[in-house]
Amino acid sequence: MSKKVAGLVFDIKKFAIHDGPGIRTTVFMKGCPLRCLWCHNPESISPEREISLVEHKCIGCGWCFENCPNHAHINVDGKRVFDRDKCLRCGVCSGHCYAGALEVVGTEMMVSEVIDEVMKDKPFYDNSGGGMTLSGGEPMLQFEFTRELLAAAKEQGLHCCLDTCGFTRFERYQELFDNVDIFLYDLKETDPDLHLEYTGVPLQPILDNLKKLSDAGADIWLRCPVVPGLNDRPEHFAEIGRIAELYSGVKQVTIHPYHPLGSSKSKNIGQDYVLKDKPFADKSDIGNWVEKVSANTAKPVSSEG
Amino acid sequence: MFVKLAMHLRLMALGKLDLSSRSVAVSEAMIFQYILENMPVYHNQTNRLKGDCGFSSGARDKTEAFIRDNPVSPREQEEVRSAEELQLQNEFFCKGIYTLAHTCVNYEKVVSRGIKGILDDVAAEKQAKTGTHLDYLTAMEIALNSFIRFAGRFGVDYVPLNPARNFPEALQCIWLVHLVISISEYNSASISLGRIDQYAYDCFMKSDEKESELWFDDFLDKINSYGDAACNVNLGGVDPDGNDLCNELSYFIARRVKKKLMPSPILSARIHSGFPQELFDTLIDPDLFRIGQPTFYGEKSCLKALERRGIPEADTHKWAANSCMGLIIQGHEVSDMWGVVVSSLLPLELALNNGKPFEKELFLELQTQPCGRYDDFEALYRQFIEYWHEVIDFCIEANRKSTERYAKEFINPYVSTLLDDCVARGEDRVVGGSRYYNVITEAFALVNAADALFTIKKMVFEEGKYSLAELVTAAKNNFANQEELYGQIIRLPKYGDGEAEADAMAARLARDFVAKVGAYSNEKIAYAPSCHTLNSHVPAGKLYAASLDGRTQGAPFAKNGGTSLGLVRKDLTSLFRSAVTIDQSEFFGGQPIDISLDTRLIDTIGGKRKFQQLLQTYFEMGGLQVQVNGLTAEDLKKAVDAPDKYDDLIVRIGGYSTYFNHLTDDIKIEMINRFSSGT
Repeated sequence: MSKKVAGLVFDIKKFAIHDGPGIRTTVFMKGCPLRCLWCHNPESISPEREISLVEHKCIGCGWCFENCPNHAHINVDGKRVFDRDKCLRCGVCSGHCYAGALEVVGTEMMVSEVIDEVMKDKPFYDNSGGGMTLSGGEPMLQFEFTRELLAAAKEQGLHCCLDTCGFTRFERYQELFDNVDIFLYDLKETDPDLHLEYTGVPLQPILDNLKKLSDAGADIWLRCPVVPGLNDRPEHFAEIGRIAELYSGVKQVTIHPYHPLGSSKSKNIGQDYVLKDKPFADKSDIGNWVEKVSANTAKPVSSEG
Repeated sequence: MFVKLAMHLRLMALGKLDLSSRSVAVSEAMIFQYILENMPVYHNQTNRLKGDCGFSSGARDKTEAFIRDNPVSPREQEEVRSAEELQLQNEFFCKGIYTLAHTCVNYEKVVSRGIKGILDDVAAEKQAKTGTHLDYLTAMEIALNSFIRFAGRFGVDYVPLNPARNFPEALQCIWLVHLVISISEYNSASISLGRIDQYAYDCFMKSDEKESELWFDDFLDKINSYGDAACNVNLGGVDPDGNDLCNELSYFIARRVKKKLMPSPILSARIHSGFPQELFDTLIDPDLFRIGQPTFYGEKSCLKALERRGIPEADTHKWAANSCMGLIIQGHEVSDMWGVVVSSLLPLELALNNGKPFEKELFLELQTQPCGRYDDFEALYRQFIEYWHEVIDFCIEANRKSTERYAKEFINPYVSTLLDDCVARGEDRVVGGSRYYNVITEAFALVNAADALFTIKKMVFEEGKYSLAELVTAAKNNFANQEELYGQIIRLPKYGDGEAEADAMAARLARDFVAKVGAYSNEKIAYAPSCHTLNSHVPAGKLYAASLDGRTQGAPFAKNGGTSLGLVRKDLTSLFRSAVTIDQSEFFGGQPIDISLDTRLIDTIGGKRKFQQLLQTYFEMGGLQVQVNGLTAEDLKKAVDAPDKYDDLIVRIGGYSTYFNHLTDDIKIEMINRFSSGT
């Protein structure tokens, strides 16, 4: 197993309590093959590193104006402008931004560095049945890194979850199957046409992989984002329930109600957010969604938020 | 107001009573008697418990009128403290003063044996004692009999003279004992009830639960109406064999406090692997967290701390959480809870500024010779330690002198009857009557000093980016026009980030503080290291210039065992890992850590379990105490107004946790609305 493999990580979040059982550390990787309209981690989509600008933190010291090698940071009539087309993503500005307004999203880390960081919280995992979760983006897009991370984690006796959208070659899941305790498997939309429209990729490969994982004996937690006005349809909930019931590998279903967190993050990385005016899901609706899924499966169904 | 009345009645007593032929002890008892006989009293008709002092309405005006109508000869209080002592206290927040009140007496003795049981003990000891001890026992007798007559003024005749027969009587007894402690100490701060679920258990089990609910709810109203925010009630604990001691009364108390949602008394849940799950689920509650209830103690870590301190194994399990953070052997110990306070930033300023504070002249003549330059970090550290030791020495000596004065002028025979072994010894609790005695020695700004030293070590001695003079000048100027320097300081790892190097510095200072303070401990007095601040980290910080941990001029010090800038910059597990790099078993004066929590995290059973596991892990790693504050809409509104102060505010969004400051303005408003509506 090679701990010298490196990958692009944009966050390592401790005390992660929504990414599998117990208290966990979630490693978030850059890059995703999907383009979900509701993505709440838009900084994860690009496989390249990016520069995040949190406007309200900028104190106008002007260092980035003077030192950006490609003049991507400029002062236009007293207003700061960040021309991202010129940005080389070199990180010179963020390295000196003591206000913390500019940050690089995506740091190259070796497997050993990630595992050392994850292992710091081992006492908390031991006491809670927690461990490490790999997420993103889509960890399978950095397949070698993901494979080596899981192997290294297992050497340390860690419980491992893989948060995946399911859109990859099944042979890759097979390669790391023995080192994944739970697959946190996204099921975003059950209508094939709408799936393509909302995520940018076809549904069938994802369903095929789900079946294969279940047949192979994987433990799977289905994670279903629900966005009012898009996929909050009775037939979608019914289908989620049916799929959950169909596959013995599926152990539980979690509804993830839409929230507009992605809007803030998109702004910080200079992207438009398609659903920016969509509000939080209503609490009473969430209960209904859970009921509708539950009506079609005996598996536990819950919601986050 | 009634404490003000007590103080005035004392002056009246001194003017009216002929105490010339009386000993100090008997004089105090007679003054106490006078106060109890003449204290204005009333009965609050809306409360079953009797025992209200002062005036039922218009208290402020009527108290002033009482004072006007009963003029006393002015007694000039001669200031006996030196100019150095006063300056250190007022301008540098370093002091050594005996602390009034803050006591947790042997309520069990009163509940189970009645005052007559204690009077019997006093009478028996009088047979065997002579001299000053006999005299003190006489004073105790006067005090106890005065207390009985005082109870009679409210028509309360059976208890506290006799043992309580049921829970209402136990509560009545406890309330009167509690009330009169404040009167006798002329101070109502932090009078704790301790292990009520143990000593009132038998009475509780004999009583009708519905009746008990009514009385206990009234008891909670009483505690809260008298404004003692730091009255502590313990839940659970373990017996000598490690078996959990939570009982029906523990559950009952938790349920009633949850029902009434009152901030006082502080519920102290004593957590260990055998703590009942059902009670844990009751206590991990959003409504309770939003009012800062309960506080959690790690039972095993606390027992270890008491063992390290030298409490015999036979007594350690009898400990109680006292006030907001101390560990004491209830009913057997005096805790001088604010006895010594030393700001760790003063000695650092002295070391950095040629023997002078950054902003003021120090009256205190220091023995340590200032050092003009330091060849390496260790030389600076040694100088810091020398100054620190001098200030600690001075403050401990100041406390000793203050305690000596207090012991001569304000002894308390009443409270001494309620603290063992004062009756057996015929001595006041302050001069050695109580079995145990601790002086809590607070290291304010220890973490600030540690992070500042880390800054210097890194930026001056390792990286050579700046000279020490440049850093000191920047701090003295509150980092004006030094944005880059300041930013670099902020970006350095700090205690609380879970970074080994920064934590190691805090642990080093902690060890050195413990070693210095511990050297003062002897058979009679334990000097108890603590980083507890309550809320005094705010006024303390106001007195100081900026410091090299990144704290700006006048900004608060670290709160309790928390971070230097008051922010949890990474996450809770990192904070807890940092906290246990300090050996908390040596901080038996108390080491609370404060955390803020979006209470929607514990809305589900899964969330509760994970929070519980977080706490239990921290305690197993050696943590002593965690205080939880649940976020409210008000907190979020404050974060909108002053985002810099809330950089670590984390909110939960749809199963995801994120920094509030990272949200756009419209989402922040939405979050506030949701918090306000409880969704």
